[in-house]
Amino acid sequence: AVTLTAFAPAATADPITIRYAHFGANRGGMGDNMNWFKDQLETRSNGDIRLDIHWGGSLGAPADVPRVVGAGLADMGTIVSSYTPGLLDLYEVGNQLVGPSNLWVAQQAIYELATTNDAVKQQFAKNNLEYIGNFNAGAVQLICKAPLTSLDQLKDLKIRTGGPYTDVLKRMGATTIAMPQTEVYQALSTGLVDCNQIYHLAIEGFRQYEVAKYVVELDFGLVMAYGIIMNKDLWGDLTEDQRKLIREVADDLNARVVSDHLARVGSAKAKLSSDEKEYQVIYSAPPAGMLDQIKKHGASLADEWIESVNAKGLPAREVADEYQALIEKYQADFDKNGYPWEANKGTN
Amino acid sequence: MDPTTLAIAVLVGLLILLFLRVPIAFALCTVAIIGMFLIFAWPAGQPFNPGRALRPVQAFLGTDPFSFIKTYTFTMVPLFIVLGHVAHRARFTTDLFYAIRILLPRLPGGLAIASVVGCAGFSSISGSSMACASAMGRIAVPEMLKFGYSKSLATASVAAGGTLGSLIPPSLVLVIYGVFTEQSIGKLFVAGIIPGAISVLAYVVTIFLWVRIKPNAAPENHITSTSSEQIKAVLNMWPITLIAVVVIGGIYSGFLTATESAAVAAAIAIIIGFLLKRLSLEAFLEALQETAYQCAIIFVLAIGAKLMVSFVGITNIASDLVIWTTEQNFSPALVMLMICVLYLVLGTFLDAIGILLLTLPLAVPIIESLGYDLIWFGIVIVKLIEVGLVTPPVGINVFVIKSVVGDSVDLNQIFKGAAIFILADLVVLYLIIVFPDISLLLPKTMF
Amino acid sequence: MIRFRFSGRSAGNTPVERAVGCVEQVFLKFSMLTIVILLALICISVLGRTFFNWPIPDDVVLAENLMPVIVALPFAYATARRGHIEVEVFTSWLPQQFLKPLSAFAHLLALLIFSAILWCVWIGVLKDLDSGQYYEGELALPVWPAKLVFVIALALFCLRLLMNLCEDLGLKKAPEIQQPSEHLS
Ligand code: NA
Ligand code: NA
Repeated sequence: AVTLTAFAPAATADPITIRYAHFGANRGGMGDNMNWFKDQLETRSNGDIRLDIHWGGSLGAPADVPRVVGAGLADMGTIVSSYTPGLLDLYEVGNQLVGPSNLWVAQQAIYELATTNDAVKQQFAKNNLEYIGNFNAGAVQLICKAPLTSLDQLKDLKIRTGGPYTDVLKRMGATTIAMPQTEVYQALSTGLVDCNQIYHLAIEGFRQYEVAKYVVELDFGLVMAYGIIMNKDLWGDLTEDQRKLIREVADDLNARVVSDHLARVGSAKAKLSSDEKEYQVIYSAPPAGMLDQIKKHGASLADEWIESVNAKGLPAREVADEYQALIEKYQADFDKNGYPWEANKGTN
Repeated sequence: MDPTTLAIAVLVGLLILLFLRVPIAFALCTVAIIGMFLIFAWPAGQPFNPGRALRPVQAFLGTDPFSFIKTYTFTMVPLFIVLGHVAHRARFTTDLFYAIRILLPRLPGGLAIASVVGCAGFSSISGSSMACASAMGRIAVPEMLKFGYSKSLATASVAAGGTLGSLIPPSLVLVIYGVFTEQSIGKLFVAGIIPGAISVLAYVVTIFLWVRIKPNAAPENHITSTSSEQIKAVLNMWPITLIAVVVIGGIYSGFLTATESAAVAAAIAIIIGFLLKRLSLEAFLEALQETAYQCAIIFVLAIGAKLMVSFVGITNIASDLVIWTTEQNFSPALVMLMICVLYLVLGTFLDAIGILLLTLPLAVPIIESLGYDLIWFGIVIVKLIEVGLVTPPVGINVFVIKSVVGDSVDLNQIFKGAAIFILADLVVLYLIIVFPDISLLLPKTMF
Repeated sequence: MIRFRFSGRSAGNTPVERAVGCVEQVFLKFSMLTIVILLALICISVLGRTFFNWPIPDDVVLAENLMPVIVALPFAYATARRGHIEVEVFTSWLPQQFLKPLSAFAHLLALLIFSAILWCVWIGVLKDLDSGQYYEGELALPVWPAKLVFVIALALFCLRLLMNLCEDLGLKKAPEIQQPSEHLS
């Protein structure tokens, strides 16, 4: 008989240190999420699994993370699919400008899709990647220098955009400008752009409220293809217990990132809309008809996107349908039960 | 092999290669790649197994150099270099320096002082020290050499002046720092103004003293002129004045981003040059050719510097040093001193932005917990890592100047001259650290 | 000061050398042209945005992708002129016959290192072609072309490093064009 121990990978018995590539800083919401993930892995494994986070993209630019992790330069990493469109098309279904506005619903739907759908998993595997968990950046908002009160204003506005919103806002008459988020502060302050597409929390992080005071709460357009990937070989080398533990932490990460995000958005809005001279940001709903137009153009863009991915021989239609079905399932669950963390608060 | 030993071995290897006259770019690439290879082939406590390193190193080499040269903000570098060459060939800069000679005939080292002030002006349109040094190197160094300035003074004053690029707003380094630490970028920019001005002053005093002690370094200027000649000289400066007005005006009124300003400035210089018939097609092509040549030299070097940063990053040695510093129960002042020394040491062989990425995630929480102001620390850090741009063995600004002057000036002549300016930098650093209000006075007036 | 003559042809002792020199010139001119394109791209986009509400779509992505063309294509040209910056202070007192082996050593190192980089980036090109990865933006520009330019530039660079190595080892004579720079002031 073959002795299995001779072939067992060396890594399984010893404590392992996972080298993690993260593009962002060790601060703010994402920094806390990353540190939470690290702490949970380390405490629940009694130190058998250690996470060595390399911040600030020092192990690879955001666009290089899939290759860097697939090759084992890093063992795990944060993937932002909008930096690598075309690489993991089927996972990118979570970035299309359709779907829910409810973060918790979207978070559960994309997580279930990426952990269970064979086609999605296969595309990760093809890049020697194992999908582990999901983050999210929240819904897209606009921050503007002046109030946005009617749709007609759009044609006079220069808006810094990215992703599907570029096409959508252009179709709605705006002038769209591409620019790194780090340059936007100055561009807003000088009036080079009138508005910027951004997430609630990034307004605070990039301090754009200092130079633009009007936030139009579109609250639509979730970027969900944003998660944790691991080197597939290393994943295979882990013991069954280690894999189970990582999955459990990733499961719990879902509730953690969403509840934390909502709490942070709440306090950021409270802070930025306060009377303090530094803040005084005014939050308002989008002008009448704007969301309908966005949804209309967004849906047709999503269709075009599905066609183009189908043309590559990938089952984009099926994956998109399954994602929608999952969204409906979790929306129904949410309508009935609300947020689990709030329910727990009630019963305890 | 444990990472610390490896990192030390790599540094020693780098010095040996440089000693053996291996071009700096090749030496950096070689040791960084070997270091990266050993990290994976020979992890601490495990046997040597080269096969294990192949795929990670392949991914490293397949991504790191390419992603690095393809960075948007680096588009400034070739554009500012073109601007420098065109302004030189169309003699706009000759007019500028002629006017300075005529207006300030008695000032010892007047052209060097003018160059430093010119660097400060350039810094207010360029966000990067490398871009600043490359354009001013082309503009100012030949003028100084032409009038008999010592090679050391002529090159070092521009290498040092170039470091103002990150201190005087706009500044890429401060933007990265602001994003990392969630500090107001606007406040950081404003905080850099007075320290920037003090640095200019310190450089001017340095040049003044240098020339006083060694009068040969800057031959006396015997030019005499009438007031009408002076007025004419000032009026002749209009092309360069126009470029400055359009670009600075464009940035501050919102037509241009800092990156775009480089293209617009170069375009205006080219157009005026052709319209005034001071730039022939041949001269323009020569300017482009020199720019391409210089970009190649600078970016091979920068790739080497980037690979080195990635290697040091994966060893965790920079963050380990930061943690070690704080675990020694030193007083806050001593921790601060240790961190300054650490940044100066890292600056000798690592690139500025690389240092920020490697150290900020750990250094900033520590600084914050000690009760220091993060805006102030940002200015201190910029000043510290800018010193690294002119220290051997890896001094990017010095290399940039060297790529302009070619064989006519020895690399160590530039480093030697820069050492004198580093003394001035240390004085300025001391002032910035001891009197935080130098940085914080202006931001406090905001909001 | 280094000052270049704007001469199209380069000399060489063998047809291979002349061919490589020729390709170097062509690459150099591509780089020069691309500098002008970059400049025009940004200026036109600024003008379009300011006066016509029409910036060039994906101008940032386009500008980024021009960078490898500008900086990498002249690698070989600069190396042919032995322009890479060295620390001379330790070795400047050595007689000429000791410098040749040192230079050969440096070129051998560089040849090994940059062929490795070339190979690894080429694998990246194949991966990008296979996945169809592109840049986010209206034009959905594919990732591979700029990377391929980088590979081609590195290939010529490596060839030139090999030729410099042969020269240092005395296997071939240095062509006349090695001293193109005249020193001003
Ligand atoms: Na600046
Ligand atoms: Na240095």
